[in-house]
Amino acid sequence: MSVSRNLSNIRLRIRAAAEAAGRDPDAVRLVAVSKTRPATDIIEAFHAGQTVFGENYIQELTAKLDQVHEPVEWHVIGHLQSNKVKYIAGRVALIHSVDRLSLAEEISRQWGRLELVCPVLIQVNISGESTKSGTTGEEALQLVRECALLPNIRVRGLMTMPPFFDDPEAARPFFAGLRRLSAVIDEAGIAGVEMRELSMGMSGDFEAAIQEGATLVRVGTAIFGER
Amino acid sequence: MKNNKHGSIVLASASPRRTELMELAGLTFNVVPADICEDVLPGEAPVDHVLRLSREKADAVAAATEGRFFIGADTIVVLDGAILGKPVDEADAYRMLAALSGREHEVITGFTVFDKVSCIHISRSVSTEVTFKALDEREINSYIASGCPMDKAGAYAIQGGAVHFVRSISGSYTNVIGLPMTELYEVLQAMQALE
Repeated sequence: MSVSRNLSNIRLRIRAAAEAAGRDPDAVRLVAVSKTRPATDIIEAFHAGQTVFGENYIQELTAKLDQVHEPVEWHVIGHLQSNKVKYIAGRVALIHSVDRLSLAEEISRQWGRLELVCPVLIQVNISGESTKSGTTGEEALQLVRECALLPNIRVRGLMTMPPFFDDPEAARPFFAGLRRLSAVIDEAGIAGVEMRELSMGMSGDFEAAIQEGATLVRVGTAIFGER
Repeated sequence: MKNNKHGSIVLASASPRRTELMELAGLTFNVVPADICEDVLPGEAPVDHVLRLSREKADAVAAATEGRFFIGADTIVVLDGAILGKPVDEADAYRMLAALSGREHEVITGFTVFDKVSCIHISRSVSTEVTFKALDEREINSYIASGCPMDKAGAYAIQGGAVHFVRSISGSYTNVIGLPMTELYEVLQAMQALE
C-alpha cells in the first residue's frame, strides 16, 4: 500500500465527484489528516504532491513543525484549547475548529503579537450531538459577528463533523445544512467576513460532501491506511 | 465620546464603578441591575464564565426593561488559573489578599451588548495583568477593616483603598475597574449604538 498511489486515487475520486456535481475540481482542496502519522509519512506524501496537512493535537503538531522542513501548509482541524494557541501562532495557515469566542479572542491576541492575521473556520455542530464540539447553528452567526470585530482573525467559512454513518449518503443532509447556514451568514454581509470555505467530508463520505459544496475535504485513513 | 439617544442604552449592572466609567465616557444611559445565578459551571474556563454571565445579565434585564442596547458585564480575578470571586467573609478576604500578595494575577472582564431591535449579541472579553507588591499582615487587616473588599472580585478595588497595593498593570486600566471602555466603545460603535 503506497501513500503515493492512495493520493492519486483520492485525487481522481475528488475530481470525479466535483465533475459529477458540475463543480470546478480545482475548487476542492484535499487536507491530508496526518495525526498519529510520523513526519516521514508527511514528507513522503509531500513528495507525492500533497501540500496541505491537518493535525488534531497541538503537541504533535509542534513536534512535526520542527521535523518537517518541506514547505507544507498546516491546518488545525481538532478541538483547540485556548492555552495551546500560543504554541502555533503564525505557524499554521488555517484553523478549522473555532467554536467559541474565548478561543477566537486568544487566536486574535497571539497572531496580533506577531502583527499577523489568522484565517479561521467556525466549527458548527450541525447534528446537535452532545458528544461533538462546535457552536450550534443558531449561535454560529453571532460568533461570526463577534469574530469580525477582532483585529487579527478573519472568518473564511465553516467546518463540521457530521455523525458517523456506515452509509456515506446518510451524512448528506448535514453537509447540505452546513452549506445553507453558510449562505445565511454570507447574506448577513458582515464586514471582513468571506464565506468561501466549507470544510466537510472525510475518508468515508467526502464524495457526498463535495456534491454538497465542500471546498476542503479532510482525508486520513484513505491516504495513510488504517491506524 | 459621542452622545447617544436618551434611554436607548441600559447598563445591566449594580456596580457604581461601572456607572462612573460610563458617565466619564459621556454616555447617556439607565442603570438596571441584573439578578442572575453567578455559579461557575463544571469545567467552565474563566473567560467563558465571564462571557456567559455578561450575556445572561444583558438578556435578563432586556427581557424586563424598556430600551434598545443592553450592556451586561462580569469581572473576575484569576490567580494560577483559578477564579477568585467575591469573598464570603473577612477570613476569605484575608486569604485572597494574602494569595495575591507579591504576585501577578489576571483581571478579566467579559461584556455583552445586546441590541433588542436586531436581536444581535456581541460579546468580548479583556484581560489585564496586575502585579501586587508584597503585603504585610497589617496592611491586609487595615484594608479589610475598611469594609471595602467585601463586595469586590478578588477582595480589592484598584481605585479604592488598595490603590497602593498595585505595583504595575499591563493592559486596560478601566478593565481592572470593571469595564474595558476602549473595547466597549468599539463594540457600541460597530452596533451603531452611538448615533
